[in-house]
Amino acid sequence: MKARCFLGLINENVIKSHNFPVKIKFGKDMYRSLFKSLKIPVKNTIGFTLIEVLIAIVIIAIVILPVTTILIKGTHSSRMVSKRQKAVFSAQEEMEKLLSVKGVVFSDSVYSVEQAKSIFYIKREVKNNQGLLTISIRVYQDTTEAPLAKLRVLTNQGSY
Amino acid sequence: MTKFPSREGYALILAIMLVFIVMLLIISWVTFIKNRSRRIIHLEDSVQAFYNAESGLAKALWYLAGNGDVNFEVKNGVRTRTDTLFDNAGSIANIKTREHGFFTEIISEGKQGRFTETVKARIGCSNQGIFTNTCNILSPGILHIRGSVEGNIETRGVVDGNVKGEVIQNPSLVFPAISYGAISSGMAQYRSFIENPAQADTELFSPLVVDDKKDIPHKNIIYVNDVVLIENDDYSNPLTIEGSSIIVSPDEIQISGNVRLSGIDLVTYGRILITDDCIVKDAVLYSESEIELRKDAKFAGTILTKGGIKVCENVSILQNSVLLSNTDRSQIELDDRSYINGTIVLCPKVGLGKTVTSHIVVGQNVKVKGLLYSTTGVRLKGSVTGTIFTPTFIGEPAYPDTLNLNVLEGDVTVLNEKDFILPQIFSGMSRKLFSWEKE
Repeated sequence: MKARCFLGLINENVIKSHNFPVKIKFGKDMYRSLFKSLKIPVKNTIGFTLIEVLIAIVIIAIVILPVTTILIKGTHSSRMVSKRQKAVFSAQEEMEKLLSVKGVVFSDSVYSVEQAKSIFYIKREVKNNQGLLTISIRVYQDTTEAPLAKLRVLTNQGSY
Repeated sequence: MTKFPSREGYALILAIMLVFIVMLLIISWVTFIKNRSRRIIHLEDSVQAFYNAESGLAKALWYLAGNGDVNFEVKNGVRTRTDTLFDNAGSIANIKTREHGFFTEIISEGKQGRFTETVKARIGCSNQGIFTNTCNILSPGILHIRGSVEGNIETRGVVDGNVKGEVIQNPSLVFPAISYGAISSGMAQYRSFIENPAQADTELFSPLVVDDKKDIPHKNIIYVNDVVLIENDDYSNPLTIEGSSIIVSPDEIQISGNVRLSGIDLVTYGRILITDDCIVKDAVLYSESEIELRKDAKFAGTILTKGGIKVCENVSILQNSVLLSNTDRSQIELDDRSYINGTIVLCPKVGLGKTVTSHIVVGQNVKVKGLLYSTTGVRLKGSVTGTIFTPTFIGEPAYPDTLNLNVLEGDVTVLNEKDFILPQIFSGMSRKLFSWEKE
């Protein structure tokens, strides 16, 4: 009878060189019975020892823990970066809107805008120093927190 | 008994390989995130640097309007100043201004963190109220229209002829006042370059003949004690010279052929001749004698002279240019298929016992877009889109019935262009920023 090779641990030659036919009990304990009947030293054929597996698990665990932390922090930072980018674009957009309108005096105000599916709060401040206006645009996700972006510009009040 | 190769340590190698691959992926992902966040953090700085440059421009305008405690450093006519903006040492604007051909040029360099942005602009006068009427005539006599006028005429006298517009009789009609002080100081500035060779960065004692880019010294002010010839006969390969230099010569300056000059001012006692397909832009031409542009030449800038100006043979003068002369004997002559976009001013100084014979001549097939302002007279045969301020129109002897006075032979139409900028030679006009560009 021909024994099949499982996981490449034994092959046909092995079976021949150990005076086959041998009785192989198929099923759950097939391997154990096969190795026993062939008198093959078990320690030379096993792939993963318990210690090996344990060491591998420890190594993976050691690596996985900081990696998970990095992943979490990285994802968070990526989200924040994306938010800041949108906030800068919002600030720039609002600034350009203000600068394109000449001769209109703007006052301080807080309002919300939508930028790429995110809602931001814009805080606009205008200070007049003898006809030279300082326009400040701050962009918040939450007005109680620090601004995500801040832009300032000086502009002339008048007909330039 | 057959021995099999040992497979001990296989899991360890697999684990290390797996860890290595995961680490590699993580490192590249972290690097990407870090670069992206650095870029975004710097995005705010780079945008703010641009607004700092814009703020510098606004502050320069504010200073020029007479505000603030101005303390500019002056060198070679360029005024520089560094301003800290918003009470914040991190936001800086370096401002440079200079008067160039009756316009003020401003360069503002904004700095924020390690970012620098530069914006450039020019200031002139707004045209408010200038183009309301197509003709403004001081003569109390009759204006004989032999061409066509589409627009209003404001005159001290009466009008004979067809006007597609309103004739406003105003015995107390006055013209926008010219600032002779601004014109004199502009001329004095250029004259001083000729009179003081010591101001020059380099002085040459032989003719300056330029037929290659390398022939012009890389200096701000080049003084040539002889003629200056810039020429190129090779029509397949233009001679392009760009920069911000002034070539000064007490003799004649001639530019001809396939030459492209940009930002080079030419100052001379003698004649300036630009001919044969030359393109000269962003330049001031100053001559105490005569300035002539001929044969398909193109020019953009300011022409300033105490003598006559002759523009003929398909010459194009573009982009808010200025042609100004205060000659009392010569003419500003525009002829033969030429096109002029800009302001043409003839303003001789008048005095007791002084005979003034100068006037502006706009020949047939000449198109002018802009303002014609003469304190003596205008002979118009071509077409003007814009407005004419003149004491009188001068007619040909073909009109004996009119005693050759106050005859308008050409066509005049209204200019509907709000962005037409005038030079800063008119008193009481508001300033206007134009030619804004980001470097």
